[in-house]
Amino acid sequence: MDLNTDLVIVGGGLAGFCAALEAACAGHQVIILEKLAETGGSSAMSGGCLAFAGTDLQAADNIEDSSELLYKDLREVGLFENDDELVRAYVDHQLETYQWLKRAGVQFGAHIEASSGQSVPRVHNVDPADMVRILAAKAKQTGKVQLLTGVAAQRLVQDDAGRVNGVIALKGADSFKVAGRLGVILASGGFNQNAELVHRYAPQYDHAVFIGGAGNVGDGLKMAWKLGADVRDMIYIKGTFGKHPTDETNHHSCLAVYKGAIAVNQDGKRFVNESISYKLLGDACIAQPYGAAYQILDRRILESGDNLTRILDLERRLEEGLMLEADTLEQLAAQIEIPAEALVRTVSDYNSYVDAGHDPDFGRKRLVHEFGELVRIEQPPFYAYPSTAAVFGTYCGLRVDAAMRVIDVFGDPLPGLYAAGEIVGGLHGGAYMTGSALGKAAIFGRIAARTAGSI
Amino acid sequence: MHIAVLIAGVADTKRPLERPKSGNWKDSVGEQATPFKLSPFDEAALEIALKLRDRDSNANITVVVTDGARDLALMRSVASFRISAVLGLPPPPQHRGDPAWLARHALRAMEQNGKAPDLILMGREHGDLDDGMAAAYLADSWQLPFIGLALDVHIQEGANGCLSFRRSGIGSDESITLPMPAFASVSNDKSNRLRHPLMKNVMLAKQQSFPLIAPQADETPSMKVTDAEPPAASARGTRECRILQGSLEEQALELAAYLKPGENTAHP
Repeated sequence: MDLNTDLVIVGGGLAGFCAALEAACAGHQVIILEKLAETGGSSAMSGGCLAFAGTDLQAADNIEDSSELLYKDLREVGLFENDDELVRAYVDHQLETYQWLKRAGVQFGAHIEASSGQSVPRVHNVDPADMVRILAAKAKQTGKVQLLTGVAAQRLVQDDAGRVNGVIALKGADSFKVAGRLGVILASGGFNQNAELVHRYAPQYDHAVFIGGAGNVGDGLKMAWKLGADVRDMIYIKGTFGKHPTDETNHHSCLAVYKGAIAVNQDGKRFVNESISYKLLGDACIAQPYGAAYQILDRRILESGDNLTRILDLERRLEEGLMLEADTLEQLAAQIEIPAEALVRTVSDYNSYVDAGHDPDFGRKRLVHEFGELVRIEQPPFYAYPSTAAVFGTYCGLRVDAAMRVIDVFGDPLPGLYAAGEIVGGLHGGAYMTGSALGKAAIFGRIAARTAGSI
Repeated sequence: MHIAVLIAGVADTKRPLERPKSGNWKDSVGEQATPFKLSPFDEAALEIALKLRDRDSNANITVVVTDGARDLALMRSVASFRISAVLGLPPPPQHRGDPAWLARHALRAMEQNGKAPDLILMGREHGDLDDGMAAAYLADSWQLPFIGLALDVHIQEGANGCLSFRRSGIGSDESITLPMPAFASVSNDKSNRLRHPLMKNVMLAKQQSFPLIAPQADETPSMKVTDAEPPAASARGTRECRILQGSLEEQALELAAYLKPGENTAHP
């Protein structure tokens, strides 16, 4: 039962559907292979944040942002380890993609927040599962996109000239070929559900919490490897700080530190500049005793949270019973089994640093990246949010050029093979900006489809 | 103050039932291959004990786990609340759900230095095989003052040795005072939702070992497990929900037929 189409897309998440819709609108026939019964993947499970700059929503909030500032922030937060060409591709196509998503029917929340790696508020919120559903429906409406669920791509197929022109797929026990005249886009996600593969690159995260789509086991990566594909950023797999270590219901990180909280370890001591990327915070946290920490905040910081932004919904965490509350720091210390005098001293020292405008311990200057004034922690009740690092995505993978062509280990494009979404390495580099994972899924998915369609 | 919590794990349907090392499913009955979790009622009992300890730093807690005592994950989940002693008292398979067996053995397991606890708490149902009568049976057997369906417990100030229990009454909550030692079954509500353990204590619990108490067999088993086999496919969800009709025997036969693989197509 071999199938023929124009473009084959592996993976039914945000990148896959953005690529499919873009290709279909250009008149191409598309087959999407999704190995699970349901589409959405890690995209649907995510926090629903997309990083865009210069949008109407920002303008409505009097936020001055630009592609150039976004570029600067992406490079900085990536510790300049990221691929300049890819960062430029993201920046050059982000605003048109934001508008394209809106035209497709994706609804963005009105409130814009600042988070990891952002000099100005640029977290654009969506319901991520809804977003994927809307794009899937839009793609289906074109009449050119065929979605095959429960069908797993197994191997890439090349023609005699070495050009990728399809995949071998498996549905149940039936193996068949899905041929694509324009080639194959790998949008199959990362590999955070493959413990053995993660261990190869980040053994320090062996005991971390892993949250992601069940299908994220690296199968797309392996298919490309077999053809000689190169990789980027593999050593920068990191957990995201702020996941409650023992709660199994709320899968999202909570970043009270970006609203002014401090992070302390089980000894009651700060251990990091809390304004840096939550990936770097994750690295610092996992190295603490028991691989865990507490975000310490007061009433004013709690009330400054934003219940419409999942990583900043502080009051909701309190309602869910995940935040510990006490009238005094001493009582809070008792609840989290930290020596009271240590916690009181740490908060007192931190408050004096806020007053002095100088943090001699860790050099914290802002709430997050280069945004927001620090605040004292002094207004009861006080709160502690238990936190560890959770690996939500691997954010590393195939080396691609700015046109999303997969590059082999000798620096040459693999003809007919493209990639988009979490499977792509090189955009994030050493750390991570909130919203850049979903952002790159949408932006790079569209670029990949355009490149494939232009062949 | 010494608080004892008597816990029976309930089947954890999210964790797969692993085939016993022997390969024979009947060895899974009462063995560690069976995955258990805390019931909401036992969680509430444990939370009430933890709250009492929060208020009285001298209080210590003993937890005795019956069903699920051989499930290391369950024992660790209990120990992760920094419990003074977590002990297993696994009933023989033929005595699971048998309050008379519990009455004979559980009180001794909960003793500290030969002394009975000041307060014994247990969930309103003791595991999957109790319909709610075990607590009252145990209180009667041990001749302890008893309150059923408690939601919270406080040490009464100014009334030495008395405990104040809150439970839902008709129209409003009611408060009942009992002298120590006392015994309460606990129901769950928002006020006694079990807290999350601290990561530190989760990690420390992983290093703990949990003594198993094995009372001397006090009778020859009247039942033995002859066979056990999980169904090839779950019958759940294949049919619309409805109330079974007929005599108890007829209902039991229909239910068994529904659950047995290959025989669940006979009835709509």
